[in-house]
Amino acid sequence: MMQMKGITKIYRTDVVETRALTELSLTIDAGEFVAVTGPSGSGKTTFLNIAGLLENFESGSYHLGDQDVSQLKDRESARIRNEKIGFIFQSFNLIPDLNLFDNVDVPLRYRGFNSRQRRERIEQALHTVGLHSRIKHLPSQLSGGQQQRVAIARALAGDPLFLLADEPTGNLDSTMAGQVLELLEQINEDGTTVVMVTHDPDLAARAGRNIQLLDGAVTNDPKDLPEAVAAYA
Amino acid sequence: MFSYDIWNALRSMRRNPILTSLMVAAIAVGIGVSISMLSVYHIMASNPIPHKSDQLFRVTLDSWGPLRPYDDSDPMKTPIQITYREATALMRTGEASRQSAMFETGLVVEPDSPDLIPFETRARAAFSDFFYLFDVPFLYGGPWDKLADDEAAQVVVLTPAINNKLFGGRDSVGEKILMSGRTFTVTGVIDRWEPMPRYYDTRNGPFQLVNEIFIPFTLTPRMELWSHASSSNWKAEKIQNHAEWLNSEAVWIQYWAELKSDLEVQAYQDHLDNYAREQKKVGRFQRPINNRIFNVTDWLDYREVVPNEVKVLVALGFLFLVVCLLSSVALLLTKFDGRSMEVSLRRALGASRSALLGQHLMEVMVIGFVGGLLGIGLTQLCLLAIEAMISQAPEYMLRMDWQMIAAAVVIAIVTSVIAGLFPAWRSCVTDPAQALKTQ
Amino acid sequence: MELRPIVSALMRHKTGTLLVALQIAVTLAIIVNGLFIINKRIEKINRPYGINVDSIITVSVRGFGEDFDSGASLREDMDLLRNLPGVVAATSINQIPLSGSGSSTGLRSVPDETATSTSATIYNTDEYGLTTLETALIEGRDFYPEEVEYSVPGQAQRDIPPVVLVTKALADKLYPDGDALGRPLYWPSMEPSTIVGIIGHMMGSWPDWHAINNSVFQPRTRNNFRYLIKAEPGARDSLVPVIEEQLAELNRQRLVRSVTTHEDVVTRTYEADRAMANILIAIIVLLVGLTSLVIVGLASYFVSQRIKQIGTRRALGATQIDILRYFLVENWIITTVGAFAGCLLTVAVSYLLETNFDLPRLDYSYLLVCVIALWLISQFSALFPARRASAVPPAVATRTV
Repeated sequence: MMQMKGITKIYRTDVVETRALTELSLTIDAGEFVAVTGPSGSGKTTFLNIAGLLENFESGSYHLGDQDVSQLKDRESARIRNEKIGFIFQSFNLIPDLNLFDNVDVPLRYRGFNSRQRRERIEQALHTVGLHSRIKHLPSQLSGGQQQRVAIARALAGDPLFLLADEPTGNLDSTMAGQVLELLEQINEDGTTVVMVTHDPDLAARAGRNIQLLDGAVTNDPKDLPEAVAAYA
Repeated sequence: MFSYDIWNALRSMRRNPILTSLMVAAIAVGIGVSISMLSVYHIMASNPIPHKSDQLFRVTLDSWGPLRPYDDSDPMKTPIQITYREATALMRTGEASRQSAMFETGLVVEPDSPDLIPFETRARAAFSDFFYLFDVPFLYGGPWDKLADDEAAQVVVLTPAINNKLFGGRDSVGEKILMSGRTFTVTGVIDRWEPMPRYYDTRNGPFQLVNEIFIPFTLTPRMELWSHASSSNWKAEKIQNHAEWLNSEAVWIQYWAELKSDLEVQAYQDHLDNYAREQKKVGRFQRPINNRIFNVTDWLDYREVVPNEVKVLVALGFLFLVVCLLSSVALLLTKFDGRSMEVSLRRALGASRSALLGQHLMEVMVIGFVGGLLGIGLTQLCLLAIEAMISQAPEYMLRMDWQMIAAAVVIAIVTSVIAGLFPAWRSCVTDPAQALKTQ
Repeated sequence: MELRPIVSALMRHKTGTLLVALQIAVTLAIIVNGLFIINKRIEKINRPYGINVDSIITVSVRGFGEDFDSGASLREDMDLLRNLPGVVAATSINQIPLSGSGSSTGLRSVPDETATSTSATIYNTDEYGLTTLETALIEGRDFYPEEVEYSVPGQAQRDIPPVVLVTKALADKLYPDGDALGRPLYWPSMEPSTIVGIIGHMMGSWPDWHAINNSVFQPRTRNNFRYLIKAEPGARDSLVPVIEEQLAELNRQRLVRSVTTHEDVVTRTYEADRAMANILIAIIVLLVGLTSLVIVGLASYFVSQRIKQIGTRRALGATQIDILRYFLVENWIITTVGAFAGCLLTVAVSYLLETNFDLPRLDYSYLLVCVIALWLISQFSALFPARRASAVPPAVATRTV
């Protein structure tokens, strides 16, 4: 479903050139629950940005499903993000001026659904995360865990190819974190692929598969063990 | 604490230089436009002789013809000037402590000095009371005496400009001048005198400088003086010579009297009405008796000396100030809104709500102060620009007096406090927890 | 398309939004009324004079001394002027057209004092008058030289000239059927003169006067202390000092008071109107500038406050165009609310101006034009911050504060 091959990403400023990803390759299949871990500076965020089509990269290739999404124009990558990727951010990124309904509505608006379709999807998504009753509330009236559940609803509402979560529990206390994680697991069980970037080993341990990054490359992926060993040799 | 407030204010202004300079500019431009319009109005609408404006009266009589009123749009309006016949009769019989008929004419001055070519000057024919009525200041000498009025003596009171031209500015009392073929003796030179508006003759340029010399009114028949300003006549008269002109129904003379009490005013009014009744007997004054006297401020109102244009500009100028005020409020509101984090933090660190309000208000005051200062400078520029556009405007008509500067300062401060109070208050009452949560 | 969420986001910032809308409203009220006044002034200034003002030089003289012979002096002056190189024609006249001062009378088509009279400016001039003014007759004839009255010492003034010229406006007022030529007009003394020529168009002395287009010409030079001199093209400005010098030398018994171009005289006459228009233009320019700067400033501020939100929207699938449109639509909503309130305010202000300051009734087409202009200006102002917003990269969404 997701296939990255030899991806290299370099950040340039006037004086420094930083290699954030070096020849990164990995494949994720439909239905997996994958955690991508690594210490800070290992390239997690860059991986996330590239996987989410938020940034371009220098070399390598990236396929989503059967589509090459390596070098897309802004309009095309926006459409892929909108239709195929469900984002979940560490700090929820809800729009404070909009109520829950309108927040979940944001990606659907860009999708071009009609209002009946949108309403059905929003209600369904908020139902899934258990916040249907608070549809008219503003984000500031919710707890952090509830806000993150709204963000999950927003990610789900568009029926994405996979969910891309960035430290989804990073801003939450352990109880709330547990609830959110359970929700993600349940969504995964219902058939949605989940890719989660985190630095928390406990969290990673609950994922079906744990990919470790170091210095911009995969150091440990249970699926590609031989390759990894070869890299170390 | 005060210096800490100022320090905070300056720091905050520096942090948002674009918003801050926009606010300063908005206040400065608002003040510049509104105060320059107000200055023009203020000078045009000012009371030119405040200490006795309620004792000086302009005298008008309805000597107009029977067929139609002087002003078709308002039949109660009297002619603003009077005839020579009424002028001489009132001077003879009117009971006022001081009074003078007057009109504007022109004389040709033929200087002694061969270096100077003859030139024409504006001249006002009046009685000696003119100088006492209007408190005319003298540089040298003084008015001619009553005897000179009675004898139609060839005496003259000069303006400083003419005195400079003819006598190099020295005390010229007693000197002789040849004017329009006659020799005049100087009895006095007036000092700088700038009644604004020039209320005693609003018909002929209310905002002109006093640039006329003065001679006795009683010289009019002998010198065959004609009015150089406006005159009008309801009657179709064939005027072949000066004597016929003086005897005609043409109105061309202004008349002022000083009446010190309501009693005197009433007596004078009765006198006018009696005079009109007498005239009816000889076939004149064929309209209903309608004689009106006005004190200085009423007269200026009646004559509408302040043009509507100026009033419109003042109105639009203040609407402009409203726009600037709204701009400032909107800008401040957003600026303070964006600072709710900092406010919460300061509150948490022990700043009281009023201390924070004070800090925000200080910032507003600093902005208002700078805007006000710039605004005063801008007002001067606006006035210069207006002066450049209107060549007839005397320079002193377009200056800011201390009242206008004070008004500018007050408006600047009031504007900025109004503009700042609400935003400052709102940012200080915001629930800190709420602010933190939505970030 | 996404109006409702934008509106509900705006409703969360009611005060700021309303303030900007209110500012737009007041701006509209000032601009519409200001432009209306400006346009009225420009219309007034641009009315055709019916005179070739640009080629004329004006002179004022004043005789003095006991034995001054004004008739002889006038003839000498005219001889001198008409023979000067560069002069096309010269005439004497009792008042300078469009100078703001002069004399007028009331005329009638019947010898009846009770009949309503028609106001008209009186011009006294000679057979060169119309040529000098370049004012054309459309009917009848000009004065014959022998009809012109000159001042002779010891000789009384003639009462009423037998023939006169009138402007078409005056002819039509006196004789609405258009048959004024050859018919009499009656002076206030009820004495008649015959209309022998009709002038197409010419303005009188006072631009604010209701009867500005009504003028009557008498063939008379007595008491004409003003001269009009028509210069050859390009010769006007160099002629001014020549005329001043030569006239002064010709006769020391009269003063040459002012030699100036007619253009300057007319410019001075319209000075207040021009000043009014210029001041209003300056106010409007400042106002539009200020309002667009405030729109730019506030929109920029909103953008900078919402960088994270913009990044999130981009991550969730908004294209750059979507973001640009979001901010433009937001601005459009505020402007439209402001413009609506502004329409009401404009009507109120114009009503107050009309009733308190005798201004003419507002022509409401100005309102429409100004609302459209305001929309464009406002959108244009918002474009800059909106473009900045659309340039926010989607990766901002994953950045932790």
